[in-house]
Amino acid sequence: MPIRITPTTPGGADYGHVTLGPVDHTVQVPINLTTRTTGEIDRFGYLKPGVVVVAGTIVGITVEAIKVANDNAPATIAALPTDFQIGVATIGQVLRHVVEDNLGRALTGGEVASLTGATSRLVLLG
Amino acid sequence: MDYFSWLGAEEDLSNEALTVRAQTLPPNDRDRLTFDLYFPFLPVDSTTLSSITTIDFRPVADRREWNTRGRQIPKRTPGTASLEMIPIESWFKIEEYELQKLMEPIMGDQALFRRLILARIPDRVDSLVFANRRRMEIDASNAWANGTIVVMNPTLGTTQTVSYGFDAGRYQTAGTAWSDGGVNAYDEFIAWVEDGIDAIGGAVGARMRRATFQAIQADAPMGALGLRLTREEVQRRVSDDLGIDFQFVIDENRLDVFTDGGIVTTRANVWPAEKIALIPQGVAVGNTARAPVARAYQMAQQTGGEIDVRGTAVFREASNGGREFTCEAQDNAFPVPNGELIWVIDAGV
Repeated sequence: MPIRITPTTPGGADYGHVTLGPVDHTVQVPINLTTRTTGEIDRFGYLKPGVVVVAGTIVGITVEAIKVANDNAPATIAALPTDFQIGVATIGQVLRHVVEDNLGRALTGGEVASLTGATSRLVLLG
Repeated sequence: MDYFSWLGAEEDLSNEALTVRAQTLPPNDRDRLTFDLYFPFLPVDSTTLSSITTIDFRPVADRREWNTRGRQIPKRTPGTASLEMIPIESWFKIEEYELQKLMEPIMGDQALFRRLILARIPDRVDSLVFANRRRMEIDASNAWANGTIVVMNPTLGTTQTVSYGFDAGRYQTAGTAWSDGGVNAYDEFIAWVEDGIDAIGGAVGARMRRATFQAIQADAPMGALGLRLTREEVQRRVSDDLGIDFQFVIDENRLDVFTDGGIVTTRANVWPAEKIALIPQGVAVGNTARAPVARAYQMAQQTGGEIDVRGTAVFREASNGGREFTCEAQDNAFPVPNGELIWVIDAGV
């Protein structure tokens, strides 16, 4: 067999941790994945850390990448559950710069409003 | 028993063991860092340092007539400064899902745990230690080249620049860039070095970027047969012209510096462009002061002095009911240049 070197997986940076200090308060909430974008679900189908989740009066943020799909193609996302259960942190300090680097975009006005709103117990740093 | 009880029970992953490991790592990241050469470590007792500048006062007495008194030599007091340092710290976290994936292959098998987990977590701690050392490198270079320290808030990304307050005369700027056709960079360099030797009392070389050296090389006297001098020949020519052994240190080393409070980095040169610094006799320009890390005192006692409280200290903690593991490495280190040994010019190239 002729000698060859075949790249198998590309290297890259891991997601940054989105909270500063301990995360001691987490809760499981439903999330509608069909409304998520490719900025929030990566090409391997992981829901990224730093996704803002609002479920009723609960405002939380994902703290770890969790696999929710096989990929992030629009058709795949459209077929995902609307009530997927996921763990989010509800009390803590959120590193805005890290969240935006993970998501590849700035937080929207709505997301900022949720994180800084009256029902949120998260502190947005940055 | 929480998730991280395995880690807590494993003595090779204790704070003490990780700290001992961190302190055995070489300071210079496989010779890529040079701060320990120009700013060797100096143990200090506090994060508040008092420095005293030396006085360059060389009075000359006068003659007097018989039965009279001669020249009074007045007392001169040196300037003092108080330097307050803040720690260098880097950290990483492991959340529950990642730990699950780490532990699945070895669940219940302590031998496998030692082989797999022990290889991974200490390796990640090593990356924290070298990140701290690279901060020392950047700070030492900035302190020398610019007389300032730039501190970035690791969360918000805002920066603060603090000046050492060195004599402005020691930081010069070329009136015309040395790359200008009307300026001979080689002659300018020789003149600057000669002034510098008078100012700092001797030199063994100069530190600069490659583009700066190339400008000097381009204007150096031609060699035999009208050929441009090689780098080695330029160095020898400068040594001959100055009458001392002189060496060019070309520093193109680059590190990945965070751009704000996020995780994006940019590869930046350690040594700033266009700056040339004279390397004094003895090479060292100052010291890297290392103060004790208070949290490490207990570790030092428990290890019977095996841990240097002024070295890198590693701490780990579990939270969220044992589902989250954070590891951090702290150094109380700060570059303290000797203002009397600084001679820097911005050559404009």
